[in-house]
Amino acid sequence: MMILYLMGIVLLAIVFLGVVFINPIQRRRWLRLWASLAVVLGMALLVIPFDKTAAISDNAHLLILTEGYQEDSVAAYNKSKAVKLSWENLDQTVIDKAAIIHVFGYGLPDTSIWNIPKSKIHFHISPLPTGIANIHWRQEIALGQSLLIQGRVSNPQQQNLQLHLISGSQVIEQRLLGAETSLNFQLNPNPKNLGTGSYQLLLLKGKDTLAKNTIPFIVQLPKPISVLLLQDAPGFEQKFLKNWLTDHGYQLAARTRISKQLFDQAFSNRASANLLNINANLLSGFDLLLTDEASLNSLSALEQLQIRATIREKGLGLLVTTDTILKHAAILDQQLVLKSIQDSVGANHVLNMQGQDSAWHPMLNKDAYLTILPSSTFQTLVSDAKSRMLTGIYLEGMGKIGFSTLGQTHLWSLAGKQWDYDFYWTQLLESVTSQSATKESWTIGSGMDFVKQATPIIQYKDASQDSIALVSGSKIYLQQNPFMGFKQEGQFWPQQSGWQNLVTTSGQIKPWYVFDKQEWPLLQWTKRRQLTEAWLAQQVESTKGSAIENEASQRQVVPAIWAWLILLLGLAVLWIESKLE
Amino acid sequence: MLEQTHLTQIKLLLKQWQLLKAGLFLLRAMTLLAFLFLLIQCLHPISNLWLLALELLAVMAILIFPKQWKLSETDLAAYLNANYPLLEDSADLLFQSTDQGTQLEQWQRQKIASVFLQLQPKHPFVKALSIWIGILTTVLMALLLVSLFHWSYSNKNASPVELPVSKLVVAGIRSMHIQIQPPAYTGKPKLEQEAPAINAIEGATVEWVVITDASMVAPAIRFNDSITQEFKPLDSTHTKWRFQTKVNTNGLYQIKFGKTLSEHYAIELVHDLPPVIRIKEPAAYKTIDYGASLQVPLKASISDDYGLVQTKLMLTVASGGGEAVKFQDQERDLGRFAPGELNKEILLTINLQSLKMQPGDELYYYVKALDSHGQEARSDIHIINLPDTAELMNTDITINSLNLKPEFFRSQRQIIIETEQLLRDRDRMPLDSFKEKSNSLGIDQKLLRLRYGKFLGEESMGEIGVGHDEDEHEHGAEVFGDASAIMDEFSHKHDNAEDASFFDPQTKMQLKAILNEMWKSELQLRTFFPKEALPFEYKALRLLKDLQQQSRAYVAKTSQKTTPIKFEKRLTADLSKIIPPLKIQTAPNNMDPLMALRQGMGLLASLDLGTAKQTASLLVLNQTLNQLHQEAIAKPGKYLLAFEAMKRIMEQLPLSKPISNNDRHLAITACEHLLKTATRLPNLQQRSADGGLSQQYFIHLNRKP
Repeated sequence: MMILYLMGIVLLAIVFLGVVFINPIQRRRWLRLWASLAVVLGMALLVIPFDKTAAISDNAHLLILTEGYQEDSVAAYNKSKAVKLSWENLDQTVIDKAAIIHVFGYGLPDTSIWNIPKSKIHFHISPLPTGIANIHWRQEIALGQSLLIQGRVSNPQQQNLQLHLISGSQVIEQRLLGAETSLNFQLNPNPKNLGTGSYQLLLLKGKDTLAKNTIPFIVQLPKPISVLLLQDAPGFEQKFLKNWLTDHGYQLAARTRISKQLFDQAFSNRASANLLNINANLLSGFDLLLTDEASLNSLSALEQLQIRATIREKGLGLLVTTDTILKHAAILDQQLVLKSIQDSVGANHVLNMQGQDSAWHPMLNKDAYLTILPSSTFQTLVSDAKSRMLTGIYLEGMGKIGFSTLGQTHLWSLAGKQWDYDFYWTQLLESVTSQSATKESWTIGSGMDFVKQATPIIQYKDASQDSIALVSGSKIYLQQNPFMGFKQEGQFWPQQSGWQNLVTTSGQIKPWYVFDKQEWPLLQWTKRRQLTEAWLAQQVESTKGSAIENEASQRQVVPAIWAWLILLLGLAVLWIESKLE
Repeated sequence: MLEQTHLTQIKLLLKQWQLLKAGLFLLRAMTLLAFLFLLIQCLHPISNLWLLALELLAVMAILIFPKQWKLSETDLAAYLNANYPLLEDSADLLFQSTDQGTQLEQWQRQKIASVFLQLQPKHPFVKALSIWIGILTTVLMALLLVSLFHWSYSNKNASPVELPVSKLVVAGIRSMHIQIQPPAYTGKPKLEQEAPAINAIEGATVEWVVITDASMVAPAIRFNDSITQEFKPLDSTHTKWRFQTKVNTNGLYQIKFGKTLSEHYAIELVHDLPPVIRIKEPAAYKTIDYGASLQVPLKASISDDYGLVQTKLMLTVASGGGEAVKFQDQERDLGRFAPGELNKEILLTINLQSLKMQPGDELYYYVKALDSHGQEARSDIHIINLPDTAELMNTDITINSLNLKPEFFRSQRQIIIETEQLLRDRDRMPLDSFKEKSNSLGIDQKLLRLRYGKFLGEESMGEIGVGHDEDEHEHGAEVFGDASAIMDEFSHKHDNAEDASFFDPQTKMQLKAILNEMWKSELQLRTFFPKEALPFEYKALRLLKDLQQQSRAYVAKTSQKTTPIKFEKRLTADLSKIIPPLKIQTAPNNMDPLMALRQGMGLLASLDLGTAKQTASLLVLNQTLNQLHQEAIAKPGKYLLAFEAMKRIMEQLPLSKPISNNDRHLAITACEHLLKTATRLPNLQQRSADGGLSQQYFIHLNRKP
């Protein structure tokens, strides 16, 4: 084919040259000759695909354009020897040739694809546009728990912005954000659904929607706790608690002393058992032992020993309440010191839950009450307005022990403040109760996974055998981690956004959400920027292996415009020359 | 002959040119007006029909300004003379008939007549005409463009959100016509509509008239998915049907014809509210001070949604106290109303004097109104108080709610009887024994007085009301180191007689008066004047009787039956026969009736997942649909759209059809409205069996030092 082209060109050249030399007019013959050659060359270039092979000279600047680069900052470096390439068109040879590499935009999407020498890199970060730069929420909650969405809005233009949280098409919470460059926000909605759910978080400027993103979450029914209640005397506080736990479906076994050797036994939502002898076998069926200090003291040494062993080794939770100062049983930390105080200032009676910025502020209804003196092992859960501890927790082996001097919480319930009562007992029981053991646990994704990106799937389990997971219909074979035998790893590339299902080998179904590429753009860019910066901040690796050979050259197709220009120039000269005659 | 020809020719020419000139004038006027219209159209879009009206003006201009377009013979002659030298400045001669003018003129005319006939004069308006036609066309084109622009612009900006009007889609039903006749008392006109959704006043009569294609079966109407009723034929061909009913509750209905059932349409009712009465003046409780005017102005406003019928002022005067309280009722009509009167301002004066109110009396009043539907409303009861100044002087401020009376006021009568006996026996007995008897009666009287004095908290034997003697006060032995003792020494810490008993102030005062009488009687008896003592004794008795009978407190007697104690078992600490109680409870099954709705809302969020099509999920979604159905019947305005959306979802889900986001959002929003925030309950968290210890171990093992 090439030969045919060449022959044609040669023939054409001969014809043209013939015409030039046959023409008897001698004047401007050279001009005609060059013009004819130009026409032949132009035609040849048009017909034959021609590569320009040129080595890019050393010491060139390489400008890598990543998402979000700004034209004017690129233009400042786009000088004669600079090569401008977008991230998608990058090539290892170009990188190797470059003397200085400028990276523009929000950063490199992946630092591991190309071997880019860090020492040469200058990173020109583009400022982030207005939007939600950071976000976090509880992705899996129990029914009744709040979602607690916290985040930061980047607002470089200092506009007045609004945040709307929407369920279906109803705005359930909104915030007005002031005109500051960076704003933290917190929303605390209480999802009402069970199972999968999603909200839309809208960032608005006036009536313009700047960003619309999905906030997916999973709401689960609370797993009931199994409670063993020991009491030295019947009381209203315990009666209310018993009823509360029973009504909400919790397993409860209660033993109340009604006379010296006589106990009242009550069982809720479970089969009866003999509660007269407390032993390890009995305790293994419970998550929490709730007792008053007097009945704890009345237990035999053997019983106390078994309770202690269960707490330490099996992670049983123990919650002790008292309203008098007694000699502590051996189970309890001897650093636990109670102090009786008399405080008639009503303002000091307001209670606070540590670490809970909530509306929970019930009052103590006595002037005289017991407080726990602070100690290094104790974590305060409830304190009064003067930060005197009333309820505290400490660790004991695998379990936790809680101690509370609050004895009349049922009065809150009687006063119509049922919410206060619910909140107190929920927090107290949750913080003391041990976590139940599971055979296997799964971690899917990183919390924010995007479509067409690798999503890690990790399974932790006791038995080290091969695992298969079924994700959205495709089988994923998990590989055992060579160092951690209990860890099985796999990867999944979601092909569509939205809710996905993971079906485990044991038949469990776990939904999880995959975001569309368009969602949370600022978050992706921020992450990219941080990754690039972190990567650059790492120790510069040894430059031993990165000696660059300059032999490589690049093939580049000569643009057709040049061929046309040459052809037209030649033809024009010939035409003008003929007219001159 | 030639002469005649030239005359007709020039006349013809004149006529032609005249027409052209008029045409040119019209064209100019029209162009000008069209341009004007274009300018207006650019600034403010108006209908193009106005252009026609405007152009009519141009026609009128022809009539108004004839001078502008009339072409006279002189004009024509002047033009010909100016443009055609061959006519030798004699063109005006051409207009004369043959025999007119001098001989010379006739000759000249003959000469130029032949010239004129040969010459074909070009009319001068051709160029101007073509130019003006061109301008007019341009202006009209521009107008067309402008109006096109306006049209497309207004089309684009047409209201973007318009709720779809639900049209009747049942095969076989050609049209439906609805007549809503509001209840007669409202006085509202009859409404007619084609749209199937009904919004009517409660109690309205609704009539559906349906025209069907075929006359096979009667169409039916189905209310709230339960009651189906058939239409009645209106004509002999059985294609026109009618159904009439009175609507009293909110709900839904569907039209059924043959086997097809229409979608749900809402019946939403506007309830007739009772009248609203607001008394602006006087305040809810008003006291008329002594000397103030007894004319009290009353200002009130009454309003109703469909019309008031009558209003009344109800007055009740309460006079007297205790058991002698008397009530006197009065009713005052505040006037009738014209039919359909919705608001009424009432302004009147209550004359307390004419109500025969005495000091100490109270007036209770309220306004009552009746609306055209027969619903009655009444205002709050307001009170006007006319205080008794005399009583005010006496009334003790402290109030004791307990109103108990001592029950043993008996022996005063005994003292009287004995005093009378003593007086009768006076003559028959020695003076010493008389004195002794009188004295002993005085002692009895004193004891009685002291007994009653106890109720008042009197502690001394002295006279009532006499202040405490400082000297009597015994200061205890000195005690060292006891702060309270020192405090006692310097403070006066006796019981206050006023506060030491349970009696109310009035009783106390009466009791005091009794004691006073007793004291006086005792004085007389002790000084051996039993006769003088008698009046005081009687008075004391009368007062005691009064006190006894004035008011009574009834306390029901209560009693308790206790099981007899077995003394042989008592305090033996033997519990062997007592069986320890055992109670087994389970939680009530249905704690949260909205749990299905919560689950349904969760499933709606992830309908794309295959799990939504499983039987259990479909069951939950069906329950959600039912719940929305119930709500839609109760509040169609709020939940009908959501119910229909949910219904569409349920139809499309098993067929794997795409579900519109709008439907999903509607259903989720309805669930969000219906559900309350769940109670937070303790949750058992999960961890791996070894508490994550091995993971931590390996993670730390792999860590680089």
